[in-house]
Amino acid sequence: MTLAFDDVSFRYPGAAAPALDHVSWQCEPGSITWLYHTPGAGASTALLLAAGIAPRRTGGTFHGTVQVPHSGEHAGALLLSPAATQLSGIAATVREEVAFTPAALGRPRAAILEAVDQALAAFGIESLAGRDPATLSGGETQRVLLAAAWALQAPLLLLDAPENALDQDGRDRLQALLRQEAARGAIVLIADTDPEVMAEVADHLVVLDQGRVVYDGAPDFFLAGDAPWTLGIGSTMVAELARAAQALAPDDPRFAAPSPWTIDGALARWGA
Amino acid sequence: MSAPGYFAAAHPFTPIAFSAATAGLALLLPGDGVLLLAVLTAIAVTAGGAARAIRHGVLLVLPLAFFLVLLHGVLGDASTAGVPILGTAIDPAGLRYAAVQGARLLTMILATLTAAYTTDPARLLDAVSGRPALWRVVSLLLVTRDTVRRFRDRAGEIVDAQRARGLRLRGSPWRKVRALRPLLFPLLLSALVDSETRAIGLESRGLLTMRQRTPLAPRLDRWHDRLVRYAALAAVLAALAWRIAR
Repeated sequence: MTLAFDDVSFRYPGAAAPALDHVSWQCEPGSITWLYHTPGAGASTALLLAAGIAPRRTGGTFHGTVQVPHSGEHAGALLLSPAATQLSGIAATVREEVAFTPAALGRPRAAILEAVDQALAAFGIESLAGRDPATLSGGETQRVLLAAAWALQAPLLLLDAPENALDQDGRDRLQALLRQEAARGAIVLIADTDPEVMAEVADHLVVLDQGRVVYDGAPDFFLAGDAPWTLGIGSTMVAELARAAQALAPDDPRFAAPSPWTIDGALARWGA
Repeated sequence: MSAPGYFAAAHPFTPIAFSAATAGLALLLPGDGVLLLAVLTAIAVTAGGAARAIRHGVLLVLPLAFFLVLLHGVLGDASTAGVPILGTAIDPAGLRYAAVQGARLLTMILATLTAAYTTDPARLLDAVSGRPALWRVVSLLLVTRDTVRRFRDRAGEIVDAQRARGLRLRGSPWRKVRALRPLLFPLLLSALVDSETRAIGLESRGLLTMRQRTPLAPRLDRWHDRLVRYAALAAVLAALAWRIAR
């Protein structure tokens, strides 16, 4: 089963313009779909719709169909941005915070404890297990709530700006775990504006601008072209470097389009 | 590190039942009974490992007790039935009434503080895991407590931010009143936005699900815990029956 947005429109109560305007795309199991977006383009709204929170909790006008792979409560694990808004406020320790949603869903105790231990280890926060979640830093809170989403072991993973406040170690762990989730067959949908983290892991890119889909396809074609700069959201630093080199030496065949956009791509192109 | 007292180690329902029953008895019992109840409560609270409830309870009741004595023992009917002491007239009946009411207040405050000091919220939540409706009540109380903490933190951030922008909070009362506007408006606005995003955040974490939760550290409900709770219930029922029959 896929996660499919079919001609979806959504307008928040009292909003002048729709947050999403007749958008359609599809996310396959085992794939990582990256929603790259301009500010206020409706990417977070798309995640709330996929999680079933909008319009039920937010109100608003909804048209179209969002087909989710599994029905029922909390079929998907959702990470909001900023993540701190998701701290339960009633868990006394980080371990209880990570276990909060699986326990709320009545999962077996042994399975919860095992999943929590694995999630804490995966994000390198075992040492925080006994800490009060209210005393954590921004980066620690982000890791804890990512671990909480992971511990749910849901078939659908919906993440809003997951790399926020993470250091390089956290980003590396996040990338590894995203690949791992996709490998186990989960559907991963991520709204993010950091191409440095997402370009390396995403295998499907949907670009949103002002509530509309302006690109739906493979990341490389979009990131290597002019569209990221036209939209004002930019591409990776390697692509920016290539673009600058092209501007300096437009006739040099080494800098001709398509430009590389990853370090590996740059090494392959210019390494020799 | 000392071992936790009986109430802290007991099943979380036990100190709450003790507290509710003691407060109920303090309302139902007659004068002499209330004085005895206050003494017994103080002994039970100390033996149960919540002695600081006594210190704090006495400090809370002292100002009230002072006014009770003043109003009923000195300013009451002392002119007619008073015993002259140190140039003023003390009314023994009024003094006794003040002592009974003071003991009633002290008992209720001791009971409440004991429950507050010895009930671990996380253990209480775990204990009500099997009762979704009760779980929601307890969790919403704890979320409210967390919201107050967040609101306080946010207020501190806004004060710091506005002071960094040149707001002066010291000076004349008029200056302080004028300083309220740049503090209150962003505080209220952020509280409104925060409550909306928090509601979505908590919904996304499964707070409002009506399923039966899994307790993470199930607590043993020992026979003596149950005995204390049944005894508390029986005492309240007996006092109620006596009060109705009287």
